[in-house]
Amino acid sequence: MDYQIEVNKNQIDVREGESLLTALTRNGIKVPTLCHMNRFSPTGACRLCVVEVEGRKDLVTSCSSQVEKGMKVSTNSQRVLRARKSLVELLLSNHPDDCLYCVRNGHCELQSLAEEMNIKERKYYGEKNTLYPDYSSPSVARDPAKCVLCSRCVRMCEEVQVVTALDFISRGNQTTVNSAFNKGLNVSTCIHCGQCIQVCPTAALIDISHIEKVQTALGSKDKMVVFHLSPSVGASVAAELKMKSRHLAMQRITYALKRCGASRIFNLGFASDVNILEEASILKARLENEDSVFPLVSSCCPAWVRYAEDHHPEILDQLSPVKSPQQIMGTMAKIFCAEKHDLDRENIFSVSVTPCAGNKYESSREENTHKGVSEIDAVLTVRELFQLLRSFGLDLVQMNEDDLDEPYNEASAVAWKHGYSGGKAEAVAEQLFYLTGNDKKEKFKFNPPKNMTGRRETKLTIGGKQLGFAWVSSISEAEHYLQHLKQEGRDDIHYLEVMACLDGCVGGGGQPVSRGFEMSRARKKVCLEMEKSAGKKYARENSAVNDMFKDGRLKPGNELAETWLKPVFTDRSSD
Amino acid sequence: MTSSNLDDTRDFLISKVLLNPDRDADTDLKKPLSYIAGERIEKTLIYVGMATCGRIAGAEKTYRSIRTYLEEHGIDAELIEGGCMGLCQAEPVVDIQVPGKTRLSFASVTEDKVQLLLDDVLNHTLPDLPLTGQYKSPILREWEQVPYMEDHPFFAGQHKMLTSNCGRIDPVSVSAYIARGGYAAFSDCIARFTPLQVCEKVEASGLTGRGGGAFSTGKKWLAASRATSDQKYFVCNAVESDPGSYMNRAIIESNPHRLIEAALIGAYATGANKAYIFLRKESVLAGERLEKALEEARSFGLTGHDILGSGVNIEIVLRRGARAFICGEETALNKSLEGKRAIPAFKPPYPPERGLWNKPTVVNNVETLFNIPLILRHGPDWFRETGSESSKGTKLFTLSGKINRYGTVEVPMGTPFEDIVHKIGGGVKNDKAFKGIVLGINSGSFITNENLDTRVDYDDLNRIGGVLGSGACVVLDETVCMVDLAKFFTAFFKKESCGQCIPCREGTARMLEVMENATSRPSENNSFQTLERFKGVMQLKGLAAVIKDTSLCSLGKSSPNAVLNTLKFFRDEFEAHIFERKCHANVCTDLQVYYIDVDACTGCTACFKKCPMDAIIGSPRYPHFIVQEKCIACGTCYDVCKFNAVVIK
Repeated sequence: MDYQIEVNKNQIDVREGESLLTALTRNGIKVPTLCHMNRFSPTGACRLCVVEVEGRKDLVTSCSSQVEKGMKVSTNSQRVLRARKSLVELLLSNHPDDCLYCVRNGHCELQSLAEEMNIKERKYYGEKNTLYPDYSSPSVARDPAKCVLCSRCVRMCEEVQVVTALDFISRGNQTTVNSAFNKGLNVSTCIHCGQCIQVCPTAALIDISHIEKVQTALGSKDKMVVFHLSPSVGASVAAELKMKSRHLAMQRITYALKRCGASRIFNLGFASDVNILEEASILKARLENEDSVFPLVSSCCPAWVRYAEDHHPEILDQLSPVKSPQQIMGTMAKIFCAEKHDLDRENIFSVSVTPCAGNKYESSREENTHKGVSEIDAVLTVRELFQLLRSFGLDLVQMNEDDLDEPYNEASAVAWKHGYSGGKAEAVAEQLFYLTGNDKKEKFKFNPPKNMTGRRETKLTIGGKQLGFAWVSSISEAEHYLQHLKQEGRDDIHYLEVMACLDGCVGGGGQPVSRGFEMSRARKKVCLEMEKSAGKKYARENSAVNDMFKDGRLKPGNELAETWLKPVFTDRSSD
Repeated sequence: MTSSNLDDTRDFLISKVLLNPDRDADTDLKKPLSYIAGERIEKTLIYVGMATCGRIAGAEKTYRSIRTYLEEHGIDAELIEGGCMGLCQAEPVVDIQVPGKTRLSFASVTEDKVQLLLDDVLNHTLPDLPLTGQYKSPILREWEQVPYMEDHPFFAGQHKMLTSNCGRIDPVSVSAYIARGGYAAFSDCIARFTPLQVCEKVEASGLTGRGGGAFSTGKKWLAASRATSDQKYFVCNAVESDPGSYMNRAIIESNPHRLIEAALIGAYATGANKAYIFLRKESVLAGERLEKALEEARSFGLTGHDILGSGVNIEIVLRRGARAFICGEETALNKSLEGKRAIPAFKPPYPPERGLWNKPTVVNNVETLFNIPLILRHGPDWFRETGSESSKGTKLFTLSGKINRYGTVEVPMGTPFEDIVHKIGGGVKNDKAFKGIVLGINSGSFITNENLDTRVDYDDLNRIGGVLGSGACVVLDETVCMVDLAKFFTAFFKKESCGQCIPCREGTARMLEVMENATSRPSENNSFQTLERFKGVMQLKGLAAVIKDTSLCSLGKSSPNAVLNTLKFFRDEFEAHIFERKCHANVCTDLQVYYIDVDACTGCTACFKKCPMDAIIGSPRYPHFIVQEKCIACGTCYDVCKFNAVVIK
């Protein structure tokens, strides 16, 4: 701490050069704000964080002012409180009054602001803008009427995901956040990462809900409903409920889903294991082939795949030709259940539960259907999982546990690694190390750089060859990294893992909406703990995977591998 | 002129004038320069006032018919598209100078008067046409019984510094500008002064920003000059969008070279090698003339690479902004220049630290910049001689509204507004009662009868709680409804708000609704609506205060000024609208109540038949009656009644 400033007649410690808002928050003084996001540059647009500074004529926004020596600040003077209250009242005057029908009812930032400001009556009656929702996208629904124009989604889309699918349109009180030419998100540059949903304070950006679909299937007699639980969902639930026995999270969800009427609950971690094994084999094969172009780029993130298809058709050949875990799982589950229970594929309703908004889009891609039957029929985000369980009157806090269903009930530690940025690169490296059959003296050691703010890459010696592994999270990092590789003409990076969401799936677009990045850190912690306590360390130890290879169902080059488990990447750059 | 002639003129002007430090003392130069400037002439010179104001009044037709006249009569005369000399009311203006005699300025020369005008003047006689005056000249013979221009009441109270060339010269001609002392300040700067010296001179002059902020221009320049960066920018803000002001457009149209010179000096002083002139797209003519002027300046080697052999490189780029009021705010202007959506950013950091493309940038208003060449040519002390104790120099106003003489006015700081209205402007039109002056939407300040002795001075205006603003000066008379005016201002801000911050975006819309409620006929006269109306007005002041307190940019902060000032100075009018439901100026037609005078009504049924709301009842040959609950105050009955039986109360 560098010096002290006076806030509300008390002294607080501050650091030189930090913003007033940071200093106040750290000292436990709550200042409301709508537009501020950690890690992002302030815009000062919502004006809710105004405070009174002695010697300044106007109120100042604490997010955009730096602390100064001798500053005397008042965060709760009459003038400040009145200004903040008026601002929220103004927002409410142009906001639909349908809280009861709102997805975010109960955890809406505007709603809680109104409560905090003690707004108990309508102050401004006036004409509201008539705006229509946009349900054109397979993953993200927009309702501009509920938008408070805080620009958080705009900055996320522009600064982190560099696609700028959302931006401001029009002026004055007609301003809206919209896709280009107000043509609908499905024809925009949207890559379906769902990060905008994560940062939206209201219900202006929400999921395209699959809950109704799932409920109908659960209630239908001739449908067999199969759920696929991603390990990341377990981590998410454990972190959200602050569970002590974290390893039980998956079992609790299983129990709850069974109460809802699900027939089978599979572990999506099985597919993650398959994905890692395949990817390592492909990397090995490419390393042996002299003509290969490197790096091999991961393709398990649907948002990243869409971005590459849109903007980098030249690297589509470098994307690893393995389907994402969700689609592997969907394929395998339908084949298995159809065989075992002698059912038509249509009558198996396959639901994946993931922390990803992009999976909704991925499941709707044409190549992920066979003769009109989707591999995955519905995708539930973690948010929707909670909602579904609530609607069935189930509370995960008080819930028994039940085991997941065989055969796909196991996941190795590697499946948990899928959940955070950098994990997959490590798992692929390890599997490659194993495959190349090193002599016993060498030991696998993955050394991520200490300073994680820099470039995330590491070098390993595998089979006497030095190989480079790199990982990036967010499209802006991916874009910069690819540019960097191109400009420097680097050929020492052999594998690149790309996750479109910040910090990987733990910060995914389908996670429960939380402000800031604390929750994604907590989720990652759970993942790391689960990895340590996992019974099976490596994907190759997963018995279901081994069975699959053993019974000859999956062989390199056979029908299953070639047609069912191979993804299709389409050049969409001209769309 | 032939091309070799042009080259000779150029070489002469560059070597003998611009690169000659003793040019002012050199008496041999005077004669050739007066020829180039068009003061001494060999053949008749005709200027047609072809700025936007002139064109609106029909100057293009006048110009064409003069050209036809000259061709038909085989007269060898030079015909020039001139600028605006300030008195826009006199447009179309035609100035004629016959060899040996002083220049005459004729007013309202429409195309039908051209024949008469030229027949007489070319024969050295005065036609019977409205004449503004003649320009004084020490070397020319004067017309008898013609008053001097500077004695004209419109010009007598003015002090022409910035507008000295306006209407006098061919706007786009670089040689005419140089011959009248132009570009000398710039060539002195790059030859004799360091950038820091230039900044210090500007600071010593006490010049402040004329766009409304009134921040010291010299301090701004010094801040940018001291900033270390590989690239700096200089930006001229020519986005004059304040309703009721067009003086920047007028002076650019009439003298674009001075803006270019000032931008060059500014760029040199702040260390920028690129200067942008950001013009609003609607100023079409200003843009065309700036383009031509830039081309001429380039042909003289005054912009671009290695200017006048000094090694200084300054490129000037003309950019046209999309139609947006908000582009006048410097940070929003920078965003727009970058090709992004024009939204203001919070300050600090101020543009001189981090502006265009995050590089140190100085943004100056057109009027501010017009002062720069003068300060550097005559020195800061000369500049400080004009003006009041606290505010130096002159101020341009666009005088308009209900006034007898309107146009672009340049007065020294410290001139009372009374002089502007009654002396320069010649009083209120049609002998109506004076109600006030509104100093543009940007400031939203009013000068009323009580404080008409206020001077054009930043401190004086502060004292009465006003701001000088950018320079609109709209005179209001008794027929103006102040609530209606406040409504107009708020509607403007509602439309022009960038939409970024809540108070300005939502607040202006709500303020407007409150005022619309007060000025409109309620759809149902129930107590809820009455309560709403009262509540709205009670909240209006508080809401305006919050908008002023919390808006992000200066434009947002100034958006409720008009409302606050109307409430302060014309509270009685507001109250009349709300409590009495009356608009005394008869502007808010919705509040008018129509009655039928039973004595005058003959029962002709004309109104009965025309009423769109079936609000009139009565039988033929008997007096009719208006049902007030149904009446929408459209005025149809008033228009159709031949017996003046419909009365408005």
